[in-house]
Amino acid sequence: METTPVSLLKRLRQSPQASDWNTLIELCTPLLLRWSKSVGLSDTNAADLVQDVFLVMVEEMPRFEYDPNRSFRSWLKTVTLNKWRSAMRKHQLKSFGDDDEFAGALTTEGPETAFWQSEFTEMLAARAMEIIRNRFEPRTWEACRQMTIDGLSAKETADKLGLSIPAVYKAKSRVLQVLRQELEGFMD
Amino acid sequence: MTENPISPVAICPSPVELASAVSGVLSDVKSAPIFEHLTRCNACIETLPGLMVPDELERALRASSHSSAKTQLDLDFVDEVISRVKRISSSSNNNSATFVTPNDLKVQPLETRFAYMAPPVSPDEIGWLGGYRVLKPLDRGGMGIVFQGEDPQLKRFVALKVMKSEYASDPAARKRYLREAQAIAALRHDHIVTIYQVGEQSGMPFLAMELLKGESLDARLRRESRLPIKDVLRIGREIAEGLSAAHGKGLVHRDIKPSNVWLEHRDTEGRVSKSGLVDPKESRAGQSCDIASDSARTTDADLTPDFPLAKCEGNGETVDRVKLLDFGLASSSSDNLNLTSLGAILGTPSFMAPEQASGVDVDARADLFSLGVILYRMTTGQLPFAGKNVMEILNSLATVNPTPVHLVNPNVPRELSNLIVELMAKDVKSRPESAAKVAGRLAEIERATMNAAPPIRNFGRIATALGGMAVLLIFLSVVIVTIKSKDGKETKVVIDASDDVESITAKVGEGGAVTEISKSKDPQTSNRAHAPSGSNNTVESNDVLNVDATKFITLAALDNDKIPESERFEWQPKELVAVIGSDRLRNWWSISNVVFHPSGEFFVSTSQYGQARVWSTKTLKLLMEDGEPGFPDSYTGVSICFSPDGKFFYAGRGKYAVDLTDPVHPNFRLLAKRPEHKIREYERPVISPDGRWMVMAGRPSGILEVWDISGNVPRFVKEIIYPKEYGENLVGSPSGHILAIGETAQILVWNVEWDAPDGPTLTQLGEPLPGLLVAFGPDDNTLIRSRLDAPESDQILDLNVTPPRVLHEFERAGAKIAPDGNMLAVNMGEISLRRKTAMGWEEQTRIPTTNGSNCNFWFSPDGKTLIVTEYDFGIMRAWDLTTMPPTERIMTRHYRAAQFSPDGRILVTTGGEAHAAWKLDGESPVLMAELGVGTSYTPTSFAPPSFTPDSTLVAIAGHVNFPQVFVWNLSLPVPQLISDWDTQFIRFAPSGTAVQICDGKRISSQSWDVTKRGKFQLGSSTVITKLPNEMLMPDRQQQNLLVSGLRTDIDRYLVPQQNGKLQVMSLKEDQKVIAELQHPDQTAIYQFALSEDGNLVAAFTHSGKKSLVWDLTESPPRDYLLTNNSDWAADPFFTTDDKLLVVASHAGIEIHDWAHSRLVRTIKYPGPAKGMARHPDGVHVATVNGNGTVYILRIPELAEHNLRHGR
Repeated sequence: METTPVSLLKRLRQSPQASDWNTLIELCTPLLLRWSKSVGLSDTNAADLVQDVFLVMVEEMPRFEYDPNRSFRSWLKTVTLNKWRSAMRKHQLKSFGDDDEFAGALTTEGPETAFWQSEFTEMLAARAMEIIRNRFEPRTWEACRQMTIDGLSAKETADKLGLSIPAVYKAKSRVLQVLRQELEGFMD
Repeated sequence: MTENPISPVAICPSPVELASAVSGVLSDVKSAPIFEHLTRCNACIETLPGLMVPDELERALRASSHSSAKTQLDLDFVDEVISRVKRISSSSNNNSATFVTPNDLKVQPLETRFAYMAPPVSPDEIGWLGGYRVLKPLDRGGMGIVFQGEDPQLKRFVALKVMKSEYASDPAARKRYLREAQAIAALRHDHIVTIYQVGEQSGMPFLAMELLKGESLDARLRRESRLPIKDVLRIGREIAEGLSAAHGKGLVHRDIKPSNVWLEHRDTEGRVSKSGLVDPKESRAGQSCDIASDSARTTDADLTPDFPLAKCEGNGETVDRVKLLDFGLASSSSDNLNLTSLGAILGTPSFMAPEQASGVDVDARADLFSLGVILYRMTTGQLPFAGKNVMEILNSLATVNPTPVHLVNPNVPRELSNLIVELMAKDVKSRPESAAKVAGRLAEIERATMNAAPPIRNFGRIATALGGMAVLLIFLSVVIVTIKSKDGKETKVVIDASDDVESITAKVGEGGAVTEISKSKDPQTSNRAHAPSGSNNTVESNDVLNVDATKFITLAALDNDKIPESERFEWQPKELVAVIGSDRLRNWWSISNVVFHPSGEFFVSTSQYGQARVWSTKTLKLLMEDGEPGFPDSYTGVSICFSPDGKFFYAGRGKYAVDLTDPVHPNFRLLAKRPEHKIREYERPVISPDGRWMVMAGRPSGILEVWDISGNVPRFVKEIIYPKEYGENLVGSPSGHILAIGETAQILVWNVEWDAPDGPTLTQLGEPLPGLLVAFGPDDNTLIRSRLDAPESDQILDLNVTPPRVLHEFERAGAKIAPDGNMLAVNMGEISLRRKTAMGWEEQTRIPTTNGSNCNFWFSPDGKTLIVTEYDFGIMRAWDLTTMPPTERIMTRHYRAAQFSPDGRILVTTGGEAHAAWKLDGESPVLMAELGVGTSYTPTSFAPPSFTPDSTLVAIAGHVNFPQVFVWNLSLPVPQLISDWDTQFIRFAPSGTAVQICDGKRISSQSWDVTKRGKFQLGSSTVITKLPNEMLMPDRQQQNLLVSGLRTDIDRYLVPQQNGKLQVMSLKEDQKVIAELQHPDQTAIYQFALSEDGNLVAAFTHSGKKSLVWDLTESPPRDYLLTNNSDWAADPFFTTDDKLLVVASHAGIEIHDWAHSRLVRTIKYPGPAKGMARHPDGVHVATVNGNGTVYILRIPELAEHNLRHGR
């Protein structure tokens, strides 16, 4: 570890650098876009929404206090839903036929809320994995990816990459360590 | 490492330690020896796989490989959005930084905010732009930001001017900006600011130009009302010299005014000192002085009697040198009039030539006029053409001959006074012919003055001058030029020559009356039928079952010519034979806002696309809609604002008079379009209580525009900047004296001083309130907000106290208080109506909505009517609140499904509140009856209604979540509800002897009967088929499909399974699977169809996946790929010859030649079709278009493929 391990969220709250914001944007944009798609927004509206959400975050993040009852995820969800609702209210974003039938306007678990469970976490993890990729030797990262995402065994990974088994375990450990540190607080 | 308790070789780590290390949970220090151990210990390696228990992160990573999410996003698009968000969220803080608290600049590290810059390399930089180091921001103008930068090669400080992100994102603006910049760059003159480079980085155009010390003439004039004659002459001459150079290149500045005349202070090195231009302390310390050897100094008159060197050493008097700014915005005189480049900063055309103000093409002499005004201002301390507002100034420009300056200020030489009169000549030809000549004359006067009287040194001025804040460049944005002639009878408005604007000439009479006459069309409210009265009129019939089912009636009588003109398409498609509902509603023209006229007589609904409709409050009839003569055009826009007296309204960039001669049928007429200022979207106007002012928010947010609308032509007055993060939902309080805005995280509340000398002025009231602005209550002190931290909670706040007190808190978003303050409507899915009592707000009743989460509502001014709109469905309802419970009055309707009767004579449409039966044997569909099921019009099923073979009874599926089916007898003179049944669906069998009932778990096939009294009865149950997969059933779409694939006549029905499996089942033989089909993509099948003989199965998927037809006669079933062009499919059917497959889609109606994977035709004009019904004649179909329209089409292609239905 070349840097003091402070999680991205902490950095953003305390003394954000441009690179931290950029990381957050890179991390969350696909998630928010995916969510926007799930509620049927067009590309344009989705991009607008993502942008609006980040505007709120840029504004609010320094004030976002750690509160065990108020996770980043639920906060992001709240901001996103609010933005979405106000956009709906304002501009009546309506894409034909998508949420009307299937979004379950009547059900409590429509796509607007369902996403924030497992899919959010999965995308977040996968995305973070991508983002930290260039911090590692290609084989180190790849070893971790194969073991965690592809679910290969240490032996399989080791064979594929021409590494020893202890080396792939160590690779996995190193990448996961960074991932955990970066994502601290995100998955709560 | 030896101190570590774990010896790497000897002792194996515990399983927990092992697993923790590999999972990356341990620190490096702790994990290092474990990994060290692993390299030597095969036993540990062996045990490790069994120890690994994935935590949430690892589970998520593993799951992500299966997640469909990854594949469904276009990565290029993601990257595009990422770079856009980076750019915008970084630069967006600029506004708040400047306008909320200046300290925000410190709070938010600068480097996070300018994404278009390359990252900083050294700590004193913000970033890099082009080849320049960006050091610090200097100034912000309307369109751009100016930074101090440094050219690292030349070690020279520069000013870097970039566009604001919101402008830079507009390619046209960027192009214009660059073009303008290139125009300036072409000019090199001592009295014109020098452009070093015109560049673009990360899509952000920028200018690198010389960094100037000093201040603008405007700043100086604000301190000193009159300037010494010596300075006047020199400044005037230098302006003229600069102009002369520009005019020589064919460039007219067009916006010569004090803020564009920079007075440069220079130091002895001829270079800007390291401290830059904005540090007055250093300048005051005497480091700043002019240089005598400057080549620009062509006359002795420039020099003060003191030798320059002495000045530098002395108290620091400097002579300022003129630099003309913003030549970039000047356009070539050979160009067509480009008013965009003019820029009426703060709406003050005080320095503008009259010909410019009237919008005709101008030449260099317009700049001379402006120079004359500047000279007048410098010598007299007054503006020659004054006025309280733009209109008055323009009037003055056109009519007033200012008092010659020597009469105002006796010190002014007569020659100068004469020159100023000449320069300000209204007739262009009477002005001096060139700037060069003017410069020459000024130089002469300077010499004469020098000889006559020694100039007076003015120490005081310098101190204050240098103490002033430097303003480098003012960015001009857009211009408004308006002029009204002397007699006030003619008003000409010239607007920005961009796409959608025009020139309007309006005849204006006394008192602002407009003589233009507009007509209004008779309100067109056709096809709005009502339920028959006397529904308690019970009719008995003894022969209800004896309808002759063979008497087939075609739709031939439906004549195109009979379709009301208003309901027609622009071109009349030959296929269209009838419209039910209104073509006006055929798109998703949802209703976003409702605004009542102050009289309460009528209200206007507006939608996102700008469609506006005027409705009578009493009759709820549509009085008028946009596009009709006299009514705002399609840019009426989202918001409309009536003046408090109700005599006019403002909408869609225009001011409209309201003619209430006939209060039931108001007429509107356009008084004038507002002169173009900025292209704004989603404009939100608020009009002052006296109707004189209009403050408007819009997109892009961050700017409130203030307009004087006292005359017929709205006149721009000024802009008020606020942090754009607050959005644009500007709301005025009931009295009109408080404004609020806030749609992101916080709400800003302002007090408005409408009568302030400089036009309406806003004063922020208190701290910004957290939350989203919902509405004002009945008075100025009551505000409703949605809490951000608890999104489902709203609060009513009392603003009288600080901090505001919470008066009432309630769940859900969306609430309004009636104007009398006694009724509160809260959106809880249903709308809860609460009355104010001593105990607080007490719920009186609830009124239903179709989909509460997307509804909005408004009280009429008298509080007696509540208008409820649901924009998902285009629904508008009115509730009469004078009764309790309130009485509902339906205004618009939507349709979910439709079905023709087997005899082809009736079409039943279902949907929300408006099930209806339509007779088709007339000239156009005639409403037989509304088949209402009460007011609980929550979404009905998409399953089409089902008729008995004799067309007498129809079963309509009810609420989608509550199993209930209603059976109506349509053969009675007044259709009657004869039974309702607690089940999900009923489908009458074509055999005429059975009915299939599906309750979500099983299908029962039963006999049925109709009693002599017309009651529907079930006979004894014959077959009960359990559905093979109960798990599927709570899913709505599956229920629909199950029914659409249910065919008793061929004993087959279809059951979708997960992962793209589709089972063809037998009804008679319980659970018998006739065939199992597998979609190759394992994707969910949402819509399917069986051919007449049950041997073909069509399966449609969503999301653009493959849609297929299986031929079951082959083994294994052979599949044929369909050419989809839409991601939505509904109600597919095969023609009776099996050759064609017809499906409703987002594209309209698609006709597939499935065997050849060919799309025969797409009938597009009905627009997106939600559903479709096939007429038994095989030629007609009815499309259901979602919110308010059903189209009946005749499709000739189908005729040869369709035999008559019904056996």
